[in-house]
Amino acid sequence: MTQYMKPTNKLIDYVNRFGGWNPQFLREIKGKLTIKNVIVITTIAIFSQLFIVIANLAKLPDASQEISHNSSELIYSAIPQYSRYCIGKASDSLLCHQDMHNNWVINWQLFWFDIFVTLSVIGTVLLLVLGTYLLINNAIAEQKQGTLNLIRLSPQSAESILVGKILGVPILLYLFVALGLPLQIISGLQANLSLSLVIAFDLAVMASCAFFYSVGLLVSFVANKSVVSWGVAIAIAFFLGLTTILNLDHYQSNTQTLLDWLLLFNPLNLIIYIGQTTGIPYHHFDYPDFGFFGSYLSGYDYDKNYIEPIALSNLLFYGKALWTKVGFGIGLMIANHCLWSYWIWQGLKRRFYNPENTAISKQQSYWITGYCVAVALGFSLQGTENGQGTGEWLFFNIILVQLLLLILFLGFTFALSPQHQTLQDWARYRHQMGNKRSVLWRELILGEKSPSTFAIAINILIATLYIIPSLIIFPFDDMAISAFWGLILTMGMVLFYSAIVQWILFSKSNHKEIIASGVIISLIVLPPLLLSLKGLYVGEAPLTWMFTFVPYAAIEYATPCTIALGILGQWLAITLVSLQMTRQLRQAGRSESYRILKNG
Amino acid sequence: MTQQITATHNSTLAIATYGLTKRYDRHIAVNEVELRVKSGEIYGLMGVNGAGKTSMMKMLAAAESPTKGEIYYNGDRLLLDSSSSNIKKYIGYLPDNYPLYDDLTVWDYLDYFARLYKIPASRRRVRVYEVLELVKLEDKRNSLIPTLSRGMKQRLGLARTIIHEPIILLLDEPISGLDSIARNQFRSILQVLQEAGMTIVIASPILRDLTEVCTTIGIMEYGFLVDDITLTDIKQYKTSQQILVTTLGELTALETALSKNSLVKEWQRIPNKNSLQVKFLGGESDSVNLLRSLIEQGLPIAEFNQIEEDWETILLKRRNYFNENNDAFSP
Repeated sequence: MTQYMKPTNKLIDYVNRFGGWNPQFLREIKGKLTIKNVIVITTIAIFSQLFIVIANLAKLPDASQEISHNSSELIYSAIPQYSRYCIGKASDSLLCHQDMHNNWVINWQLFWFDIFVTLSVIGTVLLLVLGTYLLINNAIAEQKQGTLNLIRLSPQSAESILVGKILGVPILLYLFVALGLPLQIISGLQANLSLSLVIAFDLAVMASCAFFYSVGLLVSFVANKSVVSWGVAIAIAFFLGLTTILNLDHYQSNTQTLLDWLLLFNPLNLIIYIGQTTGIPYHHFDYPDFGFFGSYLSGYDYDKNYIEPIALSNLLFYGKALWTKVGFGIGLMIANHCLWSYWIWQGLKRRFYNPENTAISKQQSYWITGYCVAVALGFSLQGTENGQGTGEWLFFNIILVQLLLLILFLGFTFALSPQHQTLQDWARYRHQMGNKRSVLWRELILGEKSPSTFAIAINILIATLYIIPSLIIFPFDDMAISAFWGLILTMGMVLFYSAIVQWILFSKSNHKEIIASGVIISLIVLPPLLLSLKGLYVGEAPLTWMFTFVPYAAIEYATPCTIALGILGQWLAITLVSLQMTRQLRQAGRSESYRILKNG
Repeated sequence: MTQQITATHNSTLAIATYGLTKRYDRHIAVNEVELRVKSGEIYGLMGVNGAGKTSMMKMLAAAESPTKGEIYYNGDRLLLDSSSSNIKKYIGYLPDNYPLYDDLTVWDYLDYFARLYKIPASRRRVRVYEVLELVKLEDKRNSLIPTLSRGMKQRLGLARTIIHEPIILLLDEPISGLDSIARNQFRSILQVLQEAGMTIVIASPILRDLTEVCTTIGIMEYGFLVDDITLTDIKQYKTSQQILVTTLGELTALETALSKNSLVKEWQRIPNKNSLQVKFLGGESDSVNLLRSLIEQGLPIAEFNQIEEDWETILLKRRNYFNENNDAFSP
């Protein structure tokens, strides 16, 4: 018996001990970390790093064209060389100089910074896009095979299994990236970055991975289809590209709106931020045309990407510039990722233990709404740099906040609505289940299986109550009243949309999620489009425009009477849809005997 | 319509369900099932496909939540959240499609589940060897799972199910699609497990598969648990035993001799044979006396056998009995 237990070597012993801590991780490693795979990945990693360094070396001035100083005529006949890494000044590029020993004077700091940027960008994009893809793919495959169910039945906690998956499934990708870490740290140090900043950047990327991987797993639990893995990977790539461009191509480098929140989900935005500490002139942050790719694409036009290195440091939160200190700024970004990962893990755990659960509980939705409104409002209180009409700018920002809430609450409607079966069972057996004290209103607010209408209404109430004081406190100038009515009308529309979605979700169709999404998108997009096509602009038909997703547009042209009519109309529509839904629910909840008696 | 045999309350119940119901839209897969499985039993759940066996097993294994009703294991309630990890430790569930991994070897697969079930390192290797030995896959331990035959995979599935020494086994159609040798191997493993004290629930559409191993059989029809019968119930049925008597002489002579015995209730002639099937109320010693008296009367008795009634006949009779009684009450 003891012979079995004797570890053959220390490595196996260590792996076993680690496996004891997390069996799922050990299982993933055993399947993937074969000697063949490790050799292949190591080779690719070494060669790609060599390629990056050589490609950068190729941009140095040509040593073979060294100018001979023996003859004074030759100095002037030599072809002048230009390189990104030279230090001379020229109208269009950098002229290369030699020092007294005939060596080219090279800006090694920039050379290394470019390598640092290239490695960081490639590593980050690979980790976030490919890593998420691998995880979703794996989770969906396990659900299809039915093996996830067996794991779920073991006494392991959701955390242990899912952390094991996150650490283990992309293990070869981690190996590839880890092999690039030494060069990344060395190049960072050579570019005069402090070690702590390089490590802080890597930590931010890890926090970002934690967030996107959790999102990926939750998506795979909710939508169990293989196509999802591609969809999410493309969406993340698109998001990274978009926020990077948003950050860089904007003259002020941040939009001074709620959209700036998105910047905090993209660790790539940190590169410019920490780049400031190197002392390299701004116009040399050759980014996003990063590294050698950029130089080849944009030729020698280095003037193209003149950007201000203010990136995140310009960001205001409730009027406070929290991102001016690099370390603190990175810390806030990591905190942002961690907080959202926390919320997503609540959903992950629920779905892991019981796949029939809704992704979040009603109670959690109230907390998330509170958190979201608080943060979103914080980012909306950013003045314009040139101070043009602060009131109008805030008004615009508060509209953006409500558009975010529209998306959030529609998302909640999908996430909080129990499956058709659960709802039907709830309607049918509610009086038999649970304790006698369970009152209807309590179940509607907190219950796991009850319809989500009431909970969405409460969420909207929370958001509205939080925003209203800010309308008074924030410097809205004379726009406060319009903002108030706009808020009431928009929230009414959100409730209406959510009621429609629930109504469709309660149908028996197999594609009800797709139908609901289609209907809601057309309800949002079509009315303003058709009205504009018919030439009925806001000024001419303010009442009609109150039933679009931007009732704000109509406020300016509406009389108090029109606004009152608009609100009345909205609530009438909401009531009608809710009554219809209640009727269907009641019908579904009737007992078999009632149905038989009625039909018989 | 439901006819449930209420379990005796003094014995310990390994599994108890109360009003267990599972609905899929209008279809009720499992309807108000009151299952009682005593500790140490092999309980067979019989029913045609679609009778609700698999839904029942999934709910018992915590793979699906019931629409309504409660499940108790040794008195502890099973819930689908993080609170049930203690109960999960002593349940072993083998689903009908016995899912396996393609990228692992037999050993790594079992080792993985041993770790999932938190078997301490000192026990793990030994335990994996034990179950491999039990399911006779020792020589395949380093093979990749896709290279195994169907029967081996099913046995590997069973090995995985028992790796953590559960005290309750839930096996959903474990021997369907196996050849007779593989079936026999599987059966002998089950007997070993029962002797080790496990409570086993087996679902199968084929009654014969169950009668060979089970101590109790429950019958599901249209989501209802319509009947369950234990071996002791069967013995009660057998108190009125059937005896097959064959004579080389005249049947009428035998009939007159039988009519003199007060314990013989009735008989019937077996067509094309010189035999009678006799319903006899006495015990074993009475039947010996009967045989002696027949021989003493000089009757040429060639055969005198107790007829074993098989499960199918008994269950069928019980079903007919219940149905007739129900008909009597229906309007």
